Amino acid sequence: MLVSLREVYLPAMIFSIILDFQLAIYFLYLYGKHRKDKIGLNKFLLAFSNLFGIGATSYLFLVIGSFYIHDSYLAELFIRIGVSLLQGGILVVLLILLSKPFRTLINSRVVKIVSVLSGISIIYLLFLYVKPIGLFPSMLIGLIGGAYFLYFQTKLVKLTSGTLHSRLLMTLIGEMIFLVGMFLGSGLPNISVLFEARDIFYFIGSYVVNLGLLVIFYGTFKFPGVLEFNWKNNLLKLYVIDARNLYELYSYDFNKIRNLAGDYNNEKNNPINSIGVVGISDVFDEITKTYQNRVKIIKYGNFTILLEYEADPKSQFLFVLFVDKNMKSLQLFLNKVKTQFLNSYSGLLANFDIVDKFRETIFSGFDVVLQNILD
Amino acid sequence: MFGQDFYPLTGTLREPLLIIEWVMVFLFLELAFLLYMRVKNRERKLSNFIEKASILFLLAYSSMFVFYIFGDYYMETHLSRLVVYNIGYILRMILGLVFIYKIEKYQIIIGKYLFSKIFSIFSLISVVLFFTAIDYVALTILFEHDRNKNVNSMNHAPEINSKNPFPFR
Repeated sequence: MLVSLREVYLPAMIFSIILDFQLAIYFLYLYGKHRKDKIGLNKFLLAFSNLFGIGATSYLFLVIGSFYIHDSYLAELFIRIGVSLLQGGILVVLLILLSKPFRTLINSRVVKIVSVLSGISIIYLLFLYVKPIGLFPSMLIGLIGGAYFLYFQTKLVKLTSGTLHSRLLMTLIGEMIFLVGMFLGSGLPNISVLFEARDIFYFIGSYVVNLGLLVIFYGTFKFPGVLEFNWKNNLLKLYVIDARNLYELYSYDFNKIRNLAGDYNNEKNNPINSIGVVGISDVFDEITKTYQNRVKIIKYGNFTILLEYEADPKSQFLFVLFVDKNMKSLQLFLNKVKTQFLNSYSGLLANFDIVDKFRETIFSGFDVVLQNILD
Repeated sequence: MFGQDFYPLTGTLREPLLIIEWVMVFLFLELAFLLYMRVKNRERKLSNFIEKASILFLLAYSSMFVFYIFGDYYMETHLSRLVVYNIGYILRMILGLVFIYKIEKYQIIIGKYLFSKIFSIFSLISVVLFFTAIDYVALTILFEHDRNKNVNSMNHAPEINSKNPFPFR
């Protein structure tokens, strides 16, 4: 029994193509899911989807060209199409990076230059290919584009915190492993000295690529979505109010954490108290005479008050968040708080007497839940 | 149309079939990995137990497939193929047993560990049959070998002289 290495690495290569397509579909699904949040930074999920989808197609062409076509002209054509597709994938990613939400993170001039070079490279590969020059310039431009995308991701990782930070970091590590695999599987076998041992490099490379893709899958599984940068710095106070009986069920001062962390020393005193907000909300409801479009944002002096209600128009509970500056991420955060609070205490909240007697004890546990949401 | 030999499989279809089977192994492993990610931080619920047990089930199938592949594509003799195949079966049975046991540990279905007991009895019978089958095939091969040897020796025996039908006497 002698196992040929080709029979071991080719299935792994085909599997990585399948895994690539799966990742592309998964990223597209994630993008669709987070699109309704209207946070532009989530467009990087779309960039990933394109990169993996087009990358997988390119990989398919490269595998067919390298292992299944024996006619040298056709094989070269397939490889050229494969490389140009890869270049196309990088170009799409760079064009997405040029969109408005990423402008603060990138150097748009560099991205524009690399995009133009990638475009030229695609035209060269498909129509103006010159054999003596070969694939080297295209590879080099692709490498620059890919390196810039990695640099952008490193910046994104640095700017995020908590779960999102660890997930993005995991994805980045996965990509690094993937690239190492690609280098082992397709870079080293082309060096003439190592040509004899190419089967071993294909074998190691194909499995390292799969490992990298699995790490990326692991990093992005149930991906929480990207929120705006520094949104947490705008949090001031959270209140959960029983609007019918007019008392505070739960409150949380975010300045406390910042004081402990030592990066925020200004104690901000809100001139409006939480019960006062109920009054304001009622006044607005009376004016508008509608419960469908209830007021959700109140601008007051230097700060903003965000309100969140239950789905039922006659709802009893009001969720109030005092913030420095209104941001979409803060509204999403308040919505998450509402869902978690109602999920945790919906049974108890029906019994007013118990809640009234043991309010402090019952809701003190929500601090941990809140911390988890913040992470 | 396709030049094809069976066991070990060779010819035109060898590589495509081998790739498909390996990809199936990888897909089973991937599904196990995805299920693991889904349940790793979840609380104790029956559905989670079933999912956790399903991870074992998928691992069992993928490992069995690996043995199938080695049996079909790389084993030269009937006996070696049989041994490799049966190791795959037994591995699947053991992990299947763990799968049933894990579910029954959480919830009693009809009687306590009833299905685990039934399954372990059948597994035991299968193990016995596995060794019997190996013995049987080994004996058959030995018998065939002896018979071939005898036939060969008969073919190479000196021709019988009609005048002297008993030359050794």
